[in-house]
Amino acid sequence: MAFNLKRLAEVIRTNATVPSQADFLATHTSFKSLRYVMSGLTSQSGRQIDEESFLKQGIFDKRDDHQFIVIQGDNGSGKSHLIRWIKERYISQVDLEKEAVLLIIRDQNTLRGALEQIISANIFPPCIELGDLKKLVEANQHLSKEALRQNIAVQFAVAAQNAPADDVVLEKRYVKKIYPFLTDQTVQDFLSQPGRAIDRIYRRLNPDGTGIRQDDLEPRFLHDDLVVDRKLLDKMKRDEANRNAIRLAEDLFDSEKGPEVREKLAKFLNQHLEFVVQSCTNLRSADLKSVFEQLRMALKQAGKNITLFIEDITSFTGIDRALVEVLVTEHAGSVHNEKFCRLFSVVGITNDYYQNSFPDNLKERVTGRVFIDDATLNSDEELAEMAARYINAISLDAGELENWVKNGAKDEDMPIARDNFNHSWAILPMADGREFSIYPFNVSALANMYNTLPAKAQTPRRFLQDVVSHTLRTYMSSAGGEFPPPAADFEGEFKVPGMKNPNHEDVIKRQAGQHDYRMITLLRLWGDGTAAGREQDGIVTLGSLTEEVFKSFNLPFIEGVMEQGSPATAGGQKHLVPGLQSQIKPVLSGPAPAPQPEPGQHKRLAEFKQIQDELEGWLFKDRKLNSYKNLRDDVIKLLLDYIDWDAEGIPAPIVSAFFTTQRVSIEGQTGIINEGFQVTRSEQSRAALLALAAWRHLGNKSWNFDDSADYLTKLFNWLVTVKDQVVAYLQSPPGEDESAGWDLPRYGVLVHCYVQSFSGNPPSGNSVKAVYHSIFQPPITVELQDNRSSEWRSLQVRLKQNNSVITNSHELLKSYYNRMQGSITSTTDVYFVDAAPLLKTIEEVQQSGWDLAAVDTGPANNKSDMLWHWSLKIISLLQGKVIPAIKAEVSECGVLLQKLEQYTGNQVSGEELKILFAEMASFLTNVLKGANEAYPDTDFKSLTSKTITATKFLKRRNLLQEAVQVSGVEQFLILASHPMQQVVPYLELFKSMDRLLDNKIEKFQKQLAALTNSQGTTGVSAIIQKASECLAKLKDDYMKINQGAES
Amino acid sequence: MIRAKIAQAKELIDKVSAGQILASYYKQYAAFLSELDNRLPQLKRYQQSSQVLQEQRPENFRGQDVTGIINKISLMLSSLQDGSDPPKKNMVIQLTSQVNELEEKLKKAWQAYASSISRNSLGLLESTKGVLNDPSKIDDVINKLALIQSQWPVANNTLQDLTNALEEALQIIQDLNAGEDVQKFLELVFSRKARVSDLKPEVLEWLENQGLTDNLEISFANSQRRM
Repeated sequence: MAFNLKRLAEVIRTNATVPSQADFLATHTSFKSLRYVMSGLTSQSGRQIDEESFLKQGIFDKRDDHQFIVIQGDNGSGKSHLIRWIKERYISQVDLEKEAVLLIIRDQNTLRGALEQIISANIFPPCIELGDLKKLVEANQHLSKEALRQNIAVQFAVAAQNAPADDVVLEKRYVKKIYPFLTDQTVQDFLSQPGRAIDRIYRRLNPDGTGIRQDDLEPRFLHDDLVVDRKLLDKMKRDEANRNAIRLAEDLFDSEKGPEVREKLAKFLNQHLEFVVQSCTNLRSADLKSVFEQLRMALKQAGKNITLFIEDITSFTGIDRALVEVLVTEHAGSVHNEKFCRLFSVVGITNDYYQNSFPDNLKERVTGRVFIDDATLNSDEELAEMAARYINAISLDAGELENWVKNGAKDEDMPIARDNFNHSWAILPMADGREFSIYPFNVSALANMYNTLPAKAQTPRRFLQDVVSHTLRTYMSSAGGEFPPPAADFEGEFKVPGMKNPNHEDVIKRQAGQHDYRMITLLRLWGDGTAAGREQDGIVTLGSLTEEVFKSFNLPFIEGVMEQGSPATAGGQKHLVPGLQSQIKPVLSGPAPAPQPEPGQHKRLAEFKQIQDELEGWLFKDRKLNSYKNLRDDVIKLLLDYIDWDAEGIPAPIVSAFFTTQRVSIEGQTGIINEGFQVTRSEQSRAALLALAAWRHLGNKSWNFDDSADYLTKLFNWLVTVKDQVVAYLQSPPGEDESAGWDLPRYGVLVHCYVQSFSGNPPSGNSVKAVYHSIFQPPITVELQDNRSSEWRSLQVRLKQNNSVITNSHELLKSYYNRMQGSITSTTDVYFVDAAPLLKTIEEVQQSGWDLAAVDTGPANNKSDMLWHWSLKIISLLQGKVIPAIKAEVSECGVLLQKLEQYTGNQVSGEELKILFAEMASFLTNVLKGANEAYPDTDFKSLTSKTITATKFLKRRNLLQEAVQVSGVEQFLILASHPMQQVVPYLELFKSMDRLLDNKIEKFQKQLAALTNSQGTTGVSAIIQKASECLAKLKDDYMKINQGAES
Repeated sequence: MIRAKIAQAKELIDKVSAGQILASYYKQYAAFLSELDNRLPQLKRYQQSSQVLQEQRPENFRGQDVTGIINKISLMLSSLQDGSDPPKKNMVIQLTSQVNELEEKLKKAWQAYASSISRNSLGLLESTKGVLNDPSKIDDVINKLALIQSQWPVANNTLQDLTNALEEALQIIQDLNAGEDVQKFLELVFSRKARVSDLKPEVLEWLENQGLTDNLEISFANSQRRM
């Protein structure tokens, strides 16, 4: 029969269900390299043993003794498979009348699942009460998920609260905080998030109904579960959680002590896992022990023994310790024990569990351990054999295999599907002479796929799921014959290795036409990673595959890259027999052994292959390039060096400004700009980028490596393709040319003049020379100036926002006429300027009166970041706004002049101003000081220190007046020099003086008024008047006496 | 305009400054004025007396030299008007002292004058008073004249009062019709130097006419005592 999905799903199980006995037996691949250690304590000793030998020596030879055998290995290593195989072989040989055999399969690996299997097993006599176990199964059905999760957290909290004070794992100060911490709702929600500790433990107790196996879940606290984030901490504080809970959360969050606290806390909590599970399930260790003791006693009485096969001990999470105690209890040694029948147990345990969770004191009671990790898939033969058995089972009808089982299930009698035997290259010969078809694989394909699985995934389970099942599903979905698909569509967990010589891909593309990518996949996985065409002994191969392989997949058998005398081998497996492994090795490790590599060559080769993979992902899967930066930089360097820019008539600054990391990109990368040159996603681009990667890595930044000519050819082809595009881009912006008035230098000069002006540094005197010199000064950025009109300032804001564009524009202008010496991209402060055209441009700009209106800024209006449009963008900002800004500024100047006149008087002369300044100074230093009157020194420091003077003020006021009176560029330049700002100190002085005077006048008026009273000036005046009158009269009277005396 | 304000401020500051100085002198001014007020009557008393005497008896009182006093008053006036330094009350005291000296002199001069012009009349009256049966009228005049002589300051009516009193005395004397010899005799009698030989016929006749003969008393006296 042909492959079908149903059989595939039945044979290769990806969920928790188990395959049928027939499928299981049909697919069993023998474990050839088990390591058997007859100790639970050490793993150092032991011997290599195959499964049959172990079965005899470890199981049957000891079946009368008490045995507790651990099958130990990582997840997916095949523990369950081995245990189940042992069980099948065991029951086929023992007398089941005298032996009770119980297999507890992993199922979904939950406690409930395990208990259900115990309950439903037919080995328990009716006298044995299973009520407690049944109660657990039933009780948990009534618990909501949330309730059980919450209960788990609470039980951990209770356990911590009841923990002995002398716990050595965790300090007391932390222990006492656990209860409030774990009973906090926020913390419970956090730990119950999918995948976190509480959730994992919950899922181990109860099946989640998804049918997904839980055996990869660790049902205990891990360090990472307790990594508290800021969000959690904030929420706890917001919710005013218990203080101790918050403190513990802070300790867990703390970057320094957090790791240690988390480690210890996890260990502490795990100590109490058993208590928690038992509390949550109402199940006691004693219950399990009691059930088994009763069972063993009953069996002994019935003259029977018991053998337990337990696929995974973690199915008994929470009562696992109790289970171990049951399993180590012998049937001899004490009176009590002698009541029991013999117990033979084979238990699957992961390495991690055995190391961390298995009770140390019981390890010595383990009678033997079988290490399984390296027992299978140690060679391509084993890979092929396992795949062959599964493919065979999948290819057969289930009933056919069931009949085989009914007839004894002897391996040599196993039916073999022959539907695909027509693909003789895919027939795998076994050592016993049988042949299986591994179609659509060959051994190389299986090995290549398996070897590219992540290291942790290189287990039988993952091999079956990620390689065999994935490939068969892909094959079945390509019913139209498009198998194998292009690598990008095929890769899953495994990767498709690159071609050993990437140039061979071109050959394939040329020769294979529409089938190129499928053929490349075939050669890279099935073949030897080359397109080498060989002929030997009359057998023609391509990439070590015979023509038959290509026919099987409806691919043309092309000539490839012809080589003479090379062995043609890998195509059909018939040629591999009997030395299969030796034939496959070259495919996996590369063709002929290379000469001794120089130091670092391996690393560079690996880096090159990495980029090769990246480029494939980029081309076919739109993936990002990890090596983007190097590739882009190399593209830039290549284009700069390759194109003769002078010959193309493109100024150096344009070139160097263009070829920056901001303007050259590779399609599909993060953060690239939309404008500039982009390496588009294409096969040709990939080839060019690969050539650059080869230059960098294979040639160590040289073309001195094998096949460099091939790479160079591709690179050159690409360059020819993109050169015109790059040059055209740099010659002028799209849609513009000089004949249509496009004049980049002119725009640059205009922008320079305006920017200089708006930054407050207008070219002195607006002379051509001044403008020219200012261009070669360091770039000026526009900063906002105080005391400007809102219109002027608004323009400054807009320019400031575009300072980077301004700087770019300036740099572009500065270097536009620079005649570069040396590399075109060199950065230098030394310029060899062709001054004449620049001076002419400046002159023209001046003659136009700095005319902005005539410039068509249309091209810049699409928010283009193209360097061509830098200056246009700025001009666009200025257009229509400079005149209003000037008007507004003039208006402000007028207002300012009026304000000044309020203080100085109208049209005051220089002499009058000198008097004003002298009087102000005198008022301060003479009048006020004389009157012992204070004044704010700082306000008048400039006056008293004569840093501002009447002469200077006169000059600045006149400039302000001139700004109002003149017009055109002259007016703009005056305004640009910020005459308002220049008089501000004077205005401030006048204001201060005016304010001071007002204050003093008011003060002295009050004082004067206060003096006018009966005992003040009025009183004194009255006295004086009265006394004067009195004395005057007296004097007159006495004068008369004298007159009388004289007469 | 800042300059205008500076000027205004300066003016104000000056005023306040001056005002403050003035105000600080208030007590001194007040003390000065108080002293002046207190002393003014004294100052005026002399001046008025002097003026009255000059006006009414220019032949007898030509006026004193008060230049020093005027100078002092001028000084005080200047001090008041200047305002820089208030006049001291001591100046008033000194002025008053100086005036007092002049006043004392004038007072004496007045009294001398009044005494001198009254002296004859008073002598005659006194001499007559002893021989008259009713001397009360003469006593009134004598008292009046004595009072005027001692009156100070001399007011505008003082001299008139003096004149009136003298005229009144003269009238009394005239009413006695005593000739020269009678008057001489009466004077000798008043001075207790009259001798029998002085009883001349005219005297006797006048005595008889006046009915005074019964009042005539002759006695012996020690010559030395008479002298």
